[in-house]
Amino acid sequence: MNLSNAQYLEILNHSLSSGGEYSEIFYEDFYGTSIVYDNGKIEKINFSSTKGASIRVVSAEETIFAHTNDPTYENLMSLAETLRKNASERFGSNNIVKVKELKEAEKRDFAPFEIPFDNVSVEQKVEKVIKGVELLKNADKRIKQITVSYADSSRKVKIVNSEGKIVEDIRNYPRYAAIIFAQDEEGNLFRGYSSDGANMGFEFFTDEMIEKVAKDAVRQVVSQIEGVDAPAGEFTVVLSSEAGGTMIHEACGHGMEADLVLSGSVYREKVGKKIASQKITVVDDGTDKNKRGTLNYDDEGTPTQRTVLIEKGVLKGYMHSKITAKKFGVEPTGNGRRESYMVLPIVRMRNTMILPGEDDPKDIIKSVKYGIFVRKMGGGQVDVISGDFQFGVDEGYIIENGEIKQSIRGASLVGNGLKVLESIDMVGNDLGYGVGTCGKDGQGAPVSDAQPTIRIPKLIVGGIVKGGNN
Amino acid sequence: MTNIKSIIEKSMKEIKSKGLKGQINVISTESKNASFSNGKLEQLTEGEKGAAGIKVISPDGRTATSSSNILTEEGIMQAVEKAIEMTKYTEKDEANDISNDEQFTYIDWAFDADTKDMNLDEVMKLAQELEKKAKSEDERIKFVRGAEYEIALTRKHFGNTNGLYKNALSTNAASSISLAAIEGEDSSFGFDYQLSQSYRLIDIDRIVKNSVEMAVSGLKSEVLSSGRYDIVMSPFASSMFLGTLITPLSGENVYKGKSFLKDKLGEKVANSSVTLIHDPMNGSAPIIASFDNEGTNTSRFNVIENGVLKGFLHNIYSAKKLGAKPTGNSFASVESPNPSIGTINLHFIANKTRKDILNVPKALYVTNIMGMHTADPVSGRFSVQISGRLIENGAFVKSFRGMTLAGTLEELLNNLEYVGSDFKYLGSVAGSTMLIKDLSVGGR
Repeated sequence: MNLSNAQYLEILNHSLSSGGEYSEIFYEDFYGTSIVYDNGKIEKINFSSTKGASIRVVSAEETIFAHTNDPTYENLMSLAETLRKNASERFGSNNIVKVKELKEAEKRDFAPFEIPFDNVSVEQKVEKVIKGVELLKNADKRIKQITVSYADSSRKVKIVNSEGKIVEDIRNYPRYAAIIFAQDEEGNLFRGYSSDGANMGFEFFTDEMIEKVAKDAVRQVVSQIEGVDAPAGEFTVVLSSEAGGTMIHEACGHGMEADLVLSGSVYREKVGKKIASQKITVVDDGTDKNKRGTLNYDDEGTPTQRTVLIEKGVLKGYMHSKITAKKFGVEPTGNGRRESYMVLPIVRMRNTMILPGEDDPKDIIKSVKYGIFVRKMGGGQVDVISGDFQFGVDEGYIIENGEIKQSIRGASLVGNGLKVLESIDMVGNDLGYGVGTCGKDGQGAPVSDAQPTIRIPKLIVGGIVKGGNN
Repeated sequence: MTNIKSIIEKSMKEIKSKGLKGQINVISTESKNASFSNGKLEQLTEGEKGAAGIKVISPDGRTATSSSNILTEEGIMQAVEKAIEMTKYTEKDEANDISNDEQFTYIDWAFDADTKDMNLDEVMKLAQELEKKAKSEDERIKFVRGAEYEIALTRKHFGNTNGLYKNALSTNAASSISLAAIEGEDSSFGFDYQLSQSYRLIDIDRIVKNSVEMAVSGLKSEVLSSGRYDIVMSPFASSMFLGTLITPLSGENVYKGKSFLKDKLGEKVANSSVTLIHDPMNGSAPIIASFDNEGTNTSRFNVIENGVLKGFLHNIYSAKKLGAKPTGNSFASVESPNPSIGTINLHFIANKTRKDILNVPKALYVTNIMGMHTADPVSGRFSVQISGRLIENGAFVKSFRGMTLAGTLEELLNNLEYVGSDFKYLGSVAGSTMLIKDLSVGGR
C-alpha cells in the first residue's frame, strides 16, 4: 500500500466528510512458513501470505468499519465512501474534522532483528527442526512419538490516521515447539510439551534455545510417566518462576483490560485501592526487548510503554486502547492490538509480569509442610466478571516437609484472581518467562508473561477424588 | 469472483503439467456485523474476506501446502508456485493422495436469500434489540458486552488435478451475548450463542433468557465439598465436552498413536446407551456440507453405536494408512484454507427428555466449563473448572462455582447414561442436556 500522502489524506478526509471524530487506515502485509516433523519425517510444510487494509471511523464511542484484501487507492476510496454513507446516517455532524498534514512517527526499536525470515532458505529452516528431533530421539527410550514444529512469520503494518500520524512497524514472530509422547510399562501414553518464541529474526533459532525446549519437554513427560494422580482439594501452592506467567495472565491481566473493566470485570472501580498483597507489583510492558509481546507501536499507532497495573498491592490503572482511554479520560497505554486487518483493535496484553520480590526461591519451598509445586503451567482460562480462573498443570510435584517429592499428573488449579493476589505471602527474587498466543473475542495475539517463584497459601487443586458418591 | 472456476482450472493445469497432483480450496465470506455494548454501538462492520489453500503432491508422495488471500489469477498462481517449490523438502509418503469422488450433486440447502439480502441497518437493529432485551430482563444485569448479530454469505470452490470441481453456497446468521449480573460485591457472568442458516431461526428471546439465567443463577454461589458427584451437563457445557472428542477420534491421531481410542475399534468405549453420529447433511443443522475440502462426498455414519466404537473421522491420508475409506471429514475455512480433520455436525442420539434428566435425586448441574481445551487427547485426562447449580430431588437448590471436575474422557463416555433432545449447536458439534454418573469433583 504505497500511496502518496495526498492520497491517504483524500481517503481519510472522505471517510470523515459526513461526520465522525477519528479515522484510521490500517494496512498489513503478512507472510509465514511452518514446518512440522511428525510421524518419523518432515511431514508438513506450509507457506502463507496475506495482504489487506481496513478503515474505521469513530464517533463518540461508536465505530464503523470496513476492510478489503485488495488495498488499491480506488478500493480504499470505495471503503471510505461506504463508511461515509454509514457515518452520515449514524453520526452526521456540521463540525467536520479535516486532516491537513501527515507526519511520519519517530522510529523506535524494541524488537531489533538481524536476519529476516525471507532471507533464509527452507533447507536452513528444516535443519533447525532436525536438530531438535535428533536431541529428542536419544533422550529417553520410553519416547514413542516426536513432533517438532518450526514457525516464522513477519507482519509489516502501516497505520495512517486522522491525527496526522503515519506509523510503520515490523513484527517478526519465530516460534519453536516440541511435543513428545512416551509410554509407560502398562502401555499408557503421556505427553510432554515445551515451546519458545520472541519478536526477533531467524537468529532466534539458536542451538541453546532448541536444546532447552527439547530438555524441558523430556523432563515434563518423564514427570508424567512417573507421576501419581493429583490429589483434589485445598493446598498451599508454590508456582515456580519456570512455570510461565499463565496465572498472572489469566487471573489478573484479562480483568485489567479496560474494555473488560467496562463490561463488569471484578477489577472495576478499584483504581487507587489495595487489591493485592504489598509484595505484589504487576506491569504490562510493551517495550521489553525482543519479547514475544513486544511492539514499537500498537495497532492503533500508539507508542508502547511499561504500564504499571499494580504497585505494592495498589491498583494503579488499566490497559487501554484509544477508545477505552477516551471513555476513562486517560491516555492510551499502547495496548490496542488486532489479529489482522480484518478485525478491529481490542485491548490486549503484551508482556505481563509480577516483578521479583525478596524471598529466596529455596526458602519458599522449604516453608511448605505439605503442598503442590508447579514447575510448568499449561493453558488456562478466566471469567473476568467473577475473577475465577482455571489453568492446567503440565508439570507438578508434591512438596512434603519443605522438599520437592513425588510428581503428579492430571492437576489443574482453580481460584479467584483477587483472592489469590491478596493471599500471596512469599515472592521470590527470580523471574522466568513463558510465551503464548492469547485468545480473546476470537482474536489471537502473541504475548509473553513472567513471574518470580510465589507462594499461595490456599488454592483449590483439581485432582482425583476416590471413593463413594457424595 | 465470477471467474474463480477458470482460475482453479488453470492452476490445476499448471500443477498437472509439472507431473504433480494437486488440490485447491477457494473460500470467501461476505459478512455484515453489528455489536452493541452498554447501550453503545461498539462496531458496525461490512467486509469480504477470502483465501485460497493449495496442496501439491509429487509422484513419490512428497507434499506441501500454501495459502494466499489474493484471489486473483496472479495471487493464486504465485501460491501454486510456492507450494510446488516446497514439495522437495518433505518426505515420500504414498498415502498422500487426492480425491476421485466424481459424483456430486450441488445442494444449497443451507442458503437463504432473505438472510443474504439483509442490509446493515437491519443487522444493527437486531443487535440493538438483543442488548435492550437483556438489560430489561433483570435489574441485576448491569453490564452487557458484545450483544452481537452477524449475517454471512459463504462461497466454497474445490478443484483438483483429477478434474473434480465442486462448489457450494451458504448463508449463516449468528447472534451472541455476554453479560454480567451484579448484586452488591457479588458478580457473575452469563453467555449464550446461536448459529443458524437463516435469520428467521435465530431466537433472540431465548438467547436473552439463557444468558440472563446463567448470570443471575451464578450470584451467591459457593464452593461445595470435594467428592464424587453425578453430573448433569447443560447443552452448552456438553457441547464443550463433545468438542474435545474430535481430536482423539481423528484418524490421523489414531494412526500416529496419539489417541486414547487408538486400539479400540470394535470395542466397547462408552455406555451401551450411547450412540454418537456424524451427520453433515442434516438439513436442520446450521452448517451443511455435501463434500469435504478434499472433494470427498460426505455421509452420515455412526462413530459410536450402542457404546461400541465403529469408526474414526478420516481424510484421504488417514483412511489409506488405516485401511479404511475416507469419511469426508477434512474441512477448511477462510482462516485455515488447507483442510484438516474435523466435523460438521457431531452429536449423540437422544434417549431421554431434558425434564426427565433433571429429575435426579442429587447431581451437579454444570452450566459452564473453564479449561476444557486443556484436556489431553492422548491420555484422555482432563481437569477443568465447573460452575452451575446443585440439584436435589429434581429441583435447583443452590449455585456453585470455582470447583474442579477431573477424570478421563473414557470415564465420561462410560458413565454417560442419558442424552437429552434439546440440541445446542456450538461450532462443529451439537450438545444437549446429559447425565454422567459418578465423577470426581474438587472443592473444599
